[in-house]
Amino acid sequence: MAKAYDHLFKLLLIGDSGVGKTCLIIRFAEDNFNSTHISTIGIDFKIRTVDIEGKKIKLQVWDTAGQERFKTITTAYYRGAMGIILVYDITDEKSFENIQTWMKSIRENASAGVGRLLLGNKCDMEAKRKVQKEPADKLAREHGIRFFETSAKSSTNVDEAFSSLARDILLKSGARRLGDGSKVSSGALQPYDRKNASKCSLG
Amino acid sequence: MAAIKALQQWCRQQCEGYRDVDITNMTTSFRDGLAFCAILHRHRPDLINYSALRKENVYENNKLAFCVAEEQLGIPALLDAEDMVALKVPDRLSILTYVSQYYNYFHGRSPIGGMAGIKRPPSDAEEESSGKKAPSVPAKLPMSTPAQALPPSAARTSSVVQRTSGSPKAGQRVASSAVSSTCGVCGKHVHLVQRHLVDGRLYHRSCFRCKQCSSTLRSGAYRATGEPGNFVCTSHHSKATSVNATSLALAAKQPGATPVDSGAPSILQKFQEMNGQAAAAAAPKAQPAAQKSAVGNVTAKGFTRTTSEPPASTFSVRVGSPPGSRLPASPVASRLEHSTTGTHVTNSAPVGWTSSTRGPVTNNSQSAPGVPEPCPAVPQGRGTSRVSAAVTKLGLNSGSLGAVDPQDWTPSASRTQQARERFFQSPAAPSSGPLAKTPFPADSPSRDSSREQALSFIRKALSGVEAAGTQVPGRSSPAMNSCPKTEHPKAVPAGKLSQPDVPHTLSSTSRMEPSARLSVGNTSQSSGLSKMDKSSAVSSQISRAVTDSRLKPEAPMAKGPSTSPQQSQEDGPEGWRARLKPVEKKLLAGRANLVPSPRAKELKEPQVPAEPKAGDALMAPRAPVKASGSPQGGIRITLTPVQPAQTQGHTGPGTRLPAASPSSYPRRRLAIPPTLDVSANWLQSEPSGQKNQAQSWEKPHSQDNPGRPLGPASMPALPEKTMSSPVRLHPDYVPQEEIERQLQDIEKQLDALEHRGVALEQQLRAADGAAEEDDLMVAWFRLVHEKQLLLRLESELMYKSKTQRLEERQLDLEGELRRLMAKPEGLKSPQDRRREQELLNQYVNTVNDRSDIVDILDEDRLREKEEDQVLQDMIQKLDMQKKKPKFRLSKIWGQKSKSCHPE
Repeated sequence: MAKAYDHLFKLLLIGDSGVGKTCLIIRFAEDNFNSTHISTIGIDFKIRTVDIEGKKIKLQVWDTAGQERFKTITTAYYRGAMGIILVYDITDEKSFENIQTWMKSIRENASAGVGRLLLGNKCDMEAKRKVQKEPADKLAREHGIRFFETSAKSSTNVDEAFSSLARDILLKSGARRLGDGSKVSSGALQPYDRKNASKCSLG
Repeated sequence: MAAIKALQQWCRQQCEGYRDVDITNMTTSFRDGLAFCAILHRHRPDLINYSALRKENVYENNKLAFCVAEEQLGIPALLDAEDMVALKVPDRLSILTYVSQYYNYFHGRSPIGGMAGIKRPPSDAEEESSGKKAPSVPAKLPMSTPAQALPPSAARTSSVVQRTSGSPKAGQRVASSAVSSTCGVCGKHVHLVQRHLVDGRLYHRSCFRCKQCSSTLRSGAYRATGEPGNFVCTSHHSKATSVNATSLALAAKQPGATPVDSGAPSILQKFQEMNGQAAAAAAPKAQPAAQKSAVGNVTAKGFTRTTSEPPASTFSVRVGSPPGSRLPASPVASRLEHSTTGTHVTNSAPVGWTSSTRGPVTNNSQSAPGVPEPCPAVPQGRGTSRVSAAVTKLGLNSGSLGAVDPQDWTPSASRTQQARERFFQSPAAPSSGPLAKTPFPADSPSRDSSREQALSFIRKALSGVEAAGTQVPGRSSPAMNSCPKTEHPKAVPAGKLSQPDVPHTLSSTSRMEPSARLSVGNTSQSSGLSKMDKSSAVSSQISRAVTDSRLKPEAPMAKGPSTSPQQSQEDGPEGWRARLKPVEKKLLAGRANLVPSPRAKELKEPQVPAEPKAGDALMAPRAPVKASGSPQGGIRITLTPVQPAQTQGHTGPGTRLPAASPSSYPRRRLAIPPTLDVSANWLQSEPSGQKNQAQSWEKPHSQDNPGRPLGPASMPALPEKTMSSPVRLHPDYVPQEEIERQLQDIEKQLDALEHRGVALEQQLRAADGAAEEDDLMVAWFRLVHEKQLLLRLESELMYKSKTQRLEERQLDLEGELRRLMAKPEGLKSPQDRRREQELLNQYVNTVNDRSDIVDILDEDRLREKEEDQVLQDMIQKLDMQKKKPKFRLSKIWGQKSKSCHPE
């Protein structure tokens, strides 16, 4: 039942308000989507168990409010996260610029060596794209993390992104680092961003 | 012997180097408690200061070890420190079993769960003593009463002595075990496997039932009432706390409700009897009381006097505060307040309401309600402490909620402490609530007796029901159970009922709100209009309206709050709500027509007042129901529509109300069936579309809670509805009924397992030292482990249920929060801001509580993993020693674990 899994990983999503963090989580955990934006209040989480490398991984995915007013609440949850997903909106330049700020927040509040992942959400809205892949890919590379462009609306890369991070954590926790590149994600990396796919530095 | 020897060997190794400890056997070597302390200290030196221990302090040493092990390590205290003092030769099997838990914990990192259920009965003192040895009894009794508090060694010693010698002396004991052990409920011998130690009292696990709903109390889902040996489901708790605290209070409320709902026949009858008795006895008193505290009742029925506006105001005031706190709190608070203030209005109001339903036939009936109220008074005492807590909680809504929930989860230790606190507090409360007491002294006794009878009845019925899984009984019980049941599997029916009630209540609340508003607006009008006797009615209406508004908030709170009572409702409610909601809609429609019109009429037409009153009365009952979370609300709701029409005349209303309100029938068995049907219909009949409305209703309540009782709440509710639905729909959502069903399955398996355990224990004791003892021992440990697995499953289900409740609550809180936050910053009053902050805190706490469950489950998972391995190793080791590889444990275990999984 509730304990029928091998590992429990805690992931945390951060990013500006309105980039689609909650939608990504709902898509991932419940395979659902609602386009109406309701800003998250403070903090919340959802659960989904996935199979990775033959292991059942129970993912507790924490959703945070992007609004500044909830900052004090949300930062308290950084510490417990084993993986943090930074999300921006490809149609919102500002949200991408702020990724640096969020990175800083991670450095200040999260455990050292926490797994990270960069997501450019709303990639279904190509017509409104403001942020190209290249800079994002570059940014991810600089930080040594993976990058995906996702769409909660179309389900693009959502499972792949979460699985990718979970896999990284699993491998890391396994104390066996086969090598950053080795991993993974056949699925994760391929789909969308092969460019980005790259670097998976677990750290 | 090998297995035992191995365990003994392990103990010796653990205790090596520790002063004054020499393990040479599995009995007297442990008597002074130092061995336990040494083992604990070896692994957790931070928990015990071994150097400070003295060999002479047998009681202290043992108590320390047992407490530390239970509170810090989660190893249930199978043994009782007082027994260790009293028994020159401690019970070997008990020591073995207990020590095996240490072994498992420190080697497997987990206690043999099975033992949890096998806890030794410290409480024996009371029961046993009373039954067995006279001398000690007196002392014991006092001690035992506190159940929570460990009885003095003296008291127990006597009992213990008996035990020690007991095995030989006491016929029963002799037969099965050296350890004295009689069930606190049934008075019969409790075998090791059946042991359920709670607050120092021993019970058969199957006897450990909710005082309210008589459903079996599960770990983490019950709380102590003010009365020793009386426990209630946590769900009932918050609500019940006040109510449950004393079954009387519940009874009072429930009676009306019960009948209405499904009305378990037996229960109903009992209640009726109770009520009748109470009414008879209390009738005279009741009125006085009613006047004082029963204001609510009065108002409902038209006791204009009591209803006097002041009371109403008091209600409103109190209510208002409570709403924030929540239903549970508010009810309690109201009660408390009553007791303290002497204004029983709030409580009385609910009771009165209920009574009104009952009483509809005759005003006397009201007096009866008053009687019930007295009961509340008793509860109040208990509740008082709670109330205070509730009050505080109310003040800190978030805090209160969070606090409540935690309690549920808190370990047994904390629970006991809480229980103790309550216990102590309750006494105080009584004093505070002199009014209630004084008026009802006679009643209270009658109630108690009636309660006991009723309880016993219910239990029997339930037991039967449970076994059968009959919902009907459950329902009947529901009235009783209404509060508590939700959590308990057995309660399921009750839970359903309760849940339905909740929805109803909600619906009623929503309905009420309109009425309330109307009444409010009317109040002035009505007051003016109600020149006649109605003035009182008007006041009552107002008060009702207020109460309604309050109630509503509370109701929402209860749902959202997750507080135990609420939770219980919530649990069930979710599923129920969906069903109920439809009903609610219907009801609402009906209400809208019925209620509104009457009220409207009242407002417009002076004459109408009577109708309004009736409506109010109805409303009021509902409101109470809501507060209490009793099924009545639902029943009433349905009735209400009808009644309103009938209740046009004042006098008529009363009579009509009775007639109209099934509640009056509740006394009658017949009433129950109707309610059942209704509930069933509601649940099933309404389409999903209705659900939305229902949800909205529910949500509104939560919204109301905030402090804005009336308008805002209803408005916001709708949005919340949308929110809430997701919870139910979410992929992993398991209907409360399903959870209950699974819990019942587990219970059956546990029963069967205990049955085997009893036989095995007898064999074990008979085989003392014999060659086959090892085999038996292995079998014993396996059985214990099996029980452990079942208990694990049970706890998982309980967590699941809890989680779902929290999710619902979170939705409710979120809805309310969003409403508040949507308000332009400039327009927010200081109260709005404060409320917003409170809600936010509650919200975050709720999320954290959910997360805590995730963590707890994960810890359990890891522990159990090791635990299973350890146990297997241990058993295999024993077998190896015997050199009789009879058992292939791995296979056995595998099978067991599989078999254990109900689903």
